Amino acid sequence: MKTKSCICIGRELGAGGREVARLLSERLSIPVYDKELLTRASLETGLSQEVFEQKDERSFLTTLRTLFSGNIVGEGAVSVLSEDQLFQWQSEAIRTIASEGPAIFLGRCADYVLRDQPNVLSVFLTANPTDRVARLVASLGITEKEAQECIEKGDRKRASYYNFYTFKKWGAATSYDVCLNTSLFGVERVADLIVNLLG
Amino acid sequence: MSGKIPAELGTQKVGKLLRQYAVPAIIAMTASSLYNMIDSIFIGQGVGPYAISGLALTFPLMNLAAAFGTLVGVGASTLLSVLLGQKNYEVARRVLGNVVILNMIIGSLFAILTLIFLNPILYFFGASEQTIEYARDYMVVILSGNIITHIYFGLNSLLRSAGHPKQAMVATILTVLLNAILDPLFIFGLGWGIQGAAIATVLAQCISLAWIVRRFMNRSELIHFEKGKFRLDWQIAKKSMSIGLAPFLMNFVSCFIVIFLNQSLKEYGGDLAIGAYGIVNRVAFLFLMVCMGLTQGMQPIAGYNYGAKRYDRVKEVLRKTLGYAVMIMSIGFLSCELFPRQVVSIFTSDQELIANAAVGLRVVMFAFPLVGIQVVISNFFQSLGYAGRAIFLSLSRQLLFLLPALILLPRIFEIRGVWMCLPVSDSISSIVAIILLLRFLKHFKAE
Repeated sequence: MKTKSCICIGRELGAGGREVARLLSERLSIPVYDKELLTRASLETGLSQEVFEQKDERSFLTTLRTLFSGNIVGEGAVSVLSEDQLFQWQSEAIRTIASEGPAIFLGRCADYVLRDQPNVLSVFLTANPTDRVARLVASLGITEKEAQECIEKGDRKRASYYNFYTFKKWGAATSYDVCLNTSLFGVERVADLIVNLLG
Repeated sequence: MSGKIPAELGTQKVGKLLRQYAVPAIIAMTASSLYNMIDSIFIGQGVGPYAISGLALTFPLMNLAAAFGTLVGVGASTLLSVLLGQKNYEVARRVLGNVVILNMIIGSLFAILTLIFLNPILYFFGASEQTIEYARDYMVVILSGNIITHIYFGLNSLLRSAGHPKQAMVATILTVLLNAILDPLFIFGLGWGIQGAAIATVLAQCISLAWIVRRFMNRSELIHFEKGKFRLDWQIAKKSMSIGLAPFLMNFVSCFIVIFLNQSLKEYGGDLAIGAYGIVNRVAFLFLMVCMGLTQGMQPIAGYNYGAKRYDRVKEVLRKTLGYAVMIMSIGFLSCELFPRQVVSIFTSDQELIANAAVGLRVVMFAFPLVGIQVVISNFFQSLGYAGRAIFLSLSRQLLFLLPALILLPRIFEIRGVWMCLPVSDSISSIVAIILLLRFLKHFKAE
């Protein structure tokens, strides 16, 4: 595997993305960045990590917020704590980490942020609905119905975040290099497949 | 402000930062207010008192046009800064092209629909036989140039987002200056009346637009016009408009309120009361815009330091901004309370209108120092990311307390009651804002 290679993993909620990332990390001995990314962004901007955690998604309030940032002709300065500005800083952190060495990124549109970099593999992981529910029930200790709701909400959130920033379609085959179904292969074999793809 | 965070936000002296961020914002905000003021002055002095009433009748329609402008403009410029941050120049150029196309579509649809129904609209807004001709003459020209106005505002905010805030400001100031030169030329020199003012407005925007377009034609700029990028892109349109929807609704509300206000003014005070409001509105807005510019300067400083948990600095910038805001608004308050006739006389020499407007001005400006506090607090919440509170506060002053006051007070105090609605709503909403702030600061201390 070439140095500075990055794997960007997009995933449905409950598709086992985190497990695959962990297995890949063990087999290739490269670090996974999920929440760690926020720590990094926090370090580089001087803003506290909570700020980044709160603004982990794009909400309707974002739009509402723009309206006080300026007058009718939009003369306003963009708020420092706006989702868009935080996304920008988070992207800078992704680029810095990628420039330092191989890394695995979970979500956060890393595939888009690093689209111009060589040696980046973008993967999207799906799973059958029953497996997704089962996984959430096991890992979060919630009921099946709650898991179902979680999945619906989570998918919608991830899709709107991804689609807004990347101008691509979340979960569509054309947006990624590889799409895999973890129900079909199991997380172990999916990790193996990805390792093999890296050559 | 894409890319790296300015490190100075957390280190530099707060007072110095505030001056550095607030001054350009104040200039930009005051420019548009001056523009309106100059128009009113030349129309009042050159055409007559009923022309001022006619002009005031058009405020809601102008607001509505501006609202449709923000529907595309605000969203597209947000989208552009996000795209530039990711160096996605390809899509960024499509945003530029789409702003032109979308503004053409929305601008022309708005103009056609309002031109067809112009008379009923103006009568609904409170026009009379005496004032409708002025309002009509003015609006026909303005609406005919509506596409230009929309594209001008849209491209101007894109110019700012594209990393040229200074050039965007030059374009803004250019329109103000051109308008100030063309207004007297057309009104006094050529005797075109109120239409002269409208033609000056459209022509000034036309020239400024040409200057902006030339900048975007420059192919060495990262973001420039390109063939094939003007095709309507549904995705860009949808994203821009979903961002722009909130500012659109906010402008829509303020337009609705002005209609209601004008109707009450007409009912209790007649045509000249509407004209008086036209004058009062211009004066009040000048001070309000200076205050808005100041709070814009506060936003990045308060926001960053809150995010960095430097609460001492957050409080310092809030304290300083409140101080300046009260100072600015007190200047407005004192000059209008002590010399109302002199202030009003800038706009007209008609004794009846002066008397009307002087009374209105004194009442309306009565709570102005409080308005400064109210505006700062609602922007403070906004810059800290508490959009809900900011929206509530902003709506409370412009709608929640104003509307009931407008229904109730004129029934008791008649025309004075109409004027009183504004300071009453200002005072109540300021008290609410202060309570919210004190409660927030308490929990602040606990952290």
